[in-house]
Amino acid sequence: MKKNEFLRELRIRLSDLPAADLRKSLDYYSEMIDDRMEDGLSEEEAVKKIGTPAMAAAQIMQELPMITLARARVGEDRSALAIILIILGSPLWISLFAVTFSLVIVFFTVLLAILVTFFSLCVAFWAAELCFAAGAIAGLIGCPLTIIFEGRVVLGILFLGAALVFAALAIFGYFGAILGTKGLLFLSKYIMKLYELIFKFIKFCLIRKETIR
Amino acid sequence: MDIQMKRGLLDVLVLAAIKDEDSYGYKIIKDVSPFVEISESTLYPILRRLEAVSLLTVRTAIHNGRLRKYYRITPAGLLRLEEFKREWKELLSIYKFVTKEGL
Repeated sequence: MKKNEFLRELRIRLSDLPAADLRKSLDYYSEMIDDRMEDGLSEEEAVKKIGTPAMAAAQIMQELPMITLARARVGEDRSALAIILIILGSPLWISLFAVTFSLVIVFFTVLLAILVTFFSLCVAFWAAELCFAAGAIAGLIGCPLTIIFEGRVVLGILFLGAALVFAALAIFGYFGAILGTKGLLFLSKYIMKLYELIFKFIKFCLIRKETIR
Repeated sequence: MDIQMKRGLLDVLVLAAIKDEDSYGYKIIKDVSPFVEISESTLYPILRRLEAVSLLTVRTAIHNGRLRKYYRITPAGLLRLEEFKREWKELLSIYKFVTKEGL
């Protein structure tokens, strides 16, 4: 295969890419073939060393960010409205897409809801914790103040007792809150991983369609 | 070599290949391939990725009447190489653990 043929085929395979990406890819392979020829290989040998245009194209696609791939699927210069119209305009798409899309949305929403619930529980835990601690401190300060300034010893001791109860609650609550926070971090880590996996899968689908065509 | 491991090492190898002086695609391949097998198609995404995260910069120059792209390492790229030196010590202790007797 000659250099021109290689580049022509590569251009066809990458024709859905944004113009700048296409240009860069073609320049790169052109330079590589030229450098190999300068190193003493014949044109055919140089092209052969590079591999097939299909392999080169697949490798380039593989590394592109998902947005670029998605744009490449629907055409670079179409507006968002045009994309929506294409999707809605095709009868087969409507049912298939609606079902998949709603499933994905539901799934994501459920995950998000779980996360939010855990998060609010966690916040509530810490808020309660704060109240206990505040109660304990207030009791501790209130006790001597009542005894010294008001002369009411019984009330002062009552405050002290309340302070101790609050302190106990605060200490137990602290462990509960720490455990809750750890649980939240753990859960969100796994949910993030799941999201990542889903994105990877979508990307994989886009690439496959591209190379099959 | 394991593909994941190779992928991580190739970034560093490419940076090392342009560390002392600017280099171009074919020369990078020739310099790197004694250590890890690398093809044009493998190098291309690596260069694009390293450029995207500013570990190297690209300039175009005329060579023998045609255009050729030269790659230059950035300060951030040099830092990445220093980081690799530190990582290597960790790798070495892993290696020692894996190859220790009776395992």
